[in-house]
Amino acid sequence: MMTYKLAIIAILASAFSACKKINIEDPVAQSAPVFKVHGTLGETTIDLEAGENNGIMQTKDTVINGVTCFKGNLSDKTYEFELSILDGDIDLQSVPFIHKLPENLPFGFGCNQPLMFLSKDIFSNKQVIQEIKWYINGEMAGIDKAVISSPGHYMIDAHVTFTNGSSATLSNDLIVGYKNHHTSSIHHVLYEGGHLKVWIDEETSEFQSIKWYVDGEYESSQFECNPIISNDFHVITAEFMFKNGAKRRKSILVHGNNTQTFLEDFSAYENIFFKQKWDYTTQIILKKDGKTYSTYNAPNVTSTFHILGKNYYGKNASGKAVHVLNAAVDCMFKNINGSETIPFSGTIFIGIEIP
Amino acid sequence: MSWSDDEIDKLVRDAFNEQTFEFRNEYWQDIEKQLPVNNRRKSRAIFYAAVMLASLISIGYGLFFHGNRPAMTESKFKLPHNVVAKAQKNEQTSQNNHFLDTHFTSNSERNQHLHIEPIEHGISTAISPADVENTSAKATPDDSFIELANIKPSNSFAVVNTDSYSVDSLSAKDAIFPQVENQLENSNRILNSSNASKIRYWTETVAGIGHIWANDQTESHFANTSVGFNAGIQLPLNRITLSLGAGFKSTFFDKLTINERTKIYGFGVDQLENTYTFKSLVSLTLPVSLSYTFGRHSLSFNLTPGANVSCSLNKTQYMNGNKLSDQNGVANVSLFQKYSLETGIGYDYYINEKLKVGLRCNIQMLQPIASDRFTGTPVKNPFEGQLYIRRILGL
Repeated sequence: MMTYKLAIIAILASAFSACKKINIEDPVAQSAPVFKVHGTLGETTIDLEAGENNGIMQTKDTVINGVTCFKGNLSDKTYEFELSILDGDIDLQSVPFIHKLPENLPFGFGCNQPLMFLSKDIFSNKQVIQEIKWYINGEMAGIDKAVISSPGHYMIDAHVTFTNGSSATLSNDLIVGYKNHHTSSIHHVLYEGGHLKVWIDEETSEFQSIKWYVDGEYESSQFECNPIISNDFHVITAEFMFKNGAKRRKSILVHGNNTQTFLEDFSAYENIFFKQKWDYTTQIILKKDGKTYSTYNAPNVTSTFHILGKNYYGKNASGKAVHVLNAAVDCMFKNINGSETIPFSGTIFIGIEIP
Repeated sequence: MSWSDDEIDKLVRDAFNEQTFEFRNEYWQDIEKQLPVNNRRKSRAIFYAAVMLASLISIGYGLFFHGNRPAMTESKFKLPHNVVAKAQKNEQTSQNNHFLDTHFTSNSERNQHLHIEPIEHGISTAISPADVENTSAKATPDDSFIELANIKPSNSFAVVNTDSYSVDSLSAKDAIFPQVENQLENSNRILNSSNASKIRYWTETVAGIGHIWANDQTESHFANTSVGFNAGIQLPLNRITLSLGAGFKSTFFDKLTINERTKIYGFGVDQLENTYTFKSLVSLTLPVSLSYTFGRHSLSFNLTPGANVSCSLNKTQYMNGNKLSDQNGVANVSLFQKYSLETGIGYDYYINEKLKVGLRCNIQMLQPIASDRFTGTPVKNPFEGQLYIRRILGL
């Protein structure tokens, strides 16, 4: 009888222990809205929250003239608030954007004058250059002369025809309207028999590394390179990284048998025409009652965009990392379809998608 | 040859001096039977039970009643078949005395000549010895007869003068009842015999139905059900029986749920819904009862402390109406009272010496639900009715 009872108890105990264990979780605390805008637009109070009144937060990155623009859009049934922040320190690509972002951001502004001129007259051997066709980001920009009017990071192709009938193409990237953390350029000397000497005129102590390529083929990692080139046009490229994190590629065009037919690194002239920079400039677009207001072209010289916090939130539906940007904003909006300007003052919590 | 007195004395003296006692094992067994019964084990068990349940006994003392029930007489003699000794008072007693007084002049004559005629309906009739010779049924003049004769009529017999007392005036109940009572007395002798004074083991199976533990006005509810199994010992304490046991009980719930909805803000808002549907709760119990037995019936007062061990449940999770998970399993009893205490009264009926069935009506003294997360209002003291079958072992 005792054995029978023990067997029953053992069976019940084993059946009980084999059951799946469920953890009764504590009640999930009601969370507060994460993304929101609270402030005053003129005399109107704005309370915009993602999750209330059909409020939704969306993030998207775009590229404007080769520069990443980080956008966050918070909208509900009444308002739409879009924040855009341009990238900065373009040549410091090794540093994540969220760490480069300064505490105070300038408001974006328009520019009525060209930021850079591209012309055959900027070359020292312009007398042997018959014609240069300029292509900006693959599109024809001009013959002999081209103008860049907007800030950006451009890929320039120069199709050069020399007076002796020979022609070639040289490509270089230009950073226009953004900070440069170096001022180096490539120099060369061609000797007989195709012996070429190339070097960078920057202080060697600022370099971290350099690599030389001849027509895309790796040649050397020395500060000075001495390739032997054939009787033809060749593109000599220097890929270097500075200790401050700046990284660039610069190229020149040389002929193995003609000391006159060459093309210098025209990116050396990218920052000589316009001094103002567009690094981390921000723009806000506000839609209300069918009207659209923008900080662009509004008088925001004395306006402030002070970052109070920039915390990682999570991933959006596309799997991209999103940070919550908390800022105190005091700026002016201008009706894009008129001249009406409205002041805005408030606190924003906007998400931006940072890869 | 004749023996002189001195020689006889010497012979006797020598015989006494040389006499040796021959010991046999049978002698010791006979002596052992005469020794008092070793109730040490029984006393120890009763002592510990009394210590544990000192407060229970003090409460139960109020339920005790003394002296209303006449002490059962252990019958040491056999009554003739179908003859029942029943106490009759008042009118019958006076009639008996009158009959004896008119027919017998002395007590000795009464004792010698008093005779009981066995009859079927349980009514005895006293007749004189002279009448015995004229009747077909003759009494057996054995010891039982003498014992009966020595019992005073006012206490034991219904000695009836047929001349003054009509048989037809007795109702069927009176005719039948003494016979049923005889059976009850038999049961009582069994239950109260020297065998029944020993500690007995028992096992029982219990099924119950009771009040739900949380009232939800928006939904209709049936009731909670339960099943359980107990085993224990019962200790006779004079007329009271103390029963101690241990077992387990499983309570099955009717719609006991936790439903929680939470807004989770993010890029928009998500509605998270967690639902826990509790199915059953397993408890370990220590049932204690004090019962008073009269015949086949007994009334009891019950106290059952317990400890809740585990519960089974279903957990579902929805996000914006889409099911995320659906699990069945067991969980701890953190949302319930860790301990339980049931008290109540019961009635049971002995089918035979080994088996009895009963009903209990219990009430939970401690509110079983210890959290406000449950849907509905927690019931403070739910009650439960139980039906049980108990088997007594060892008889």
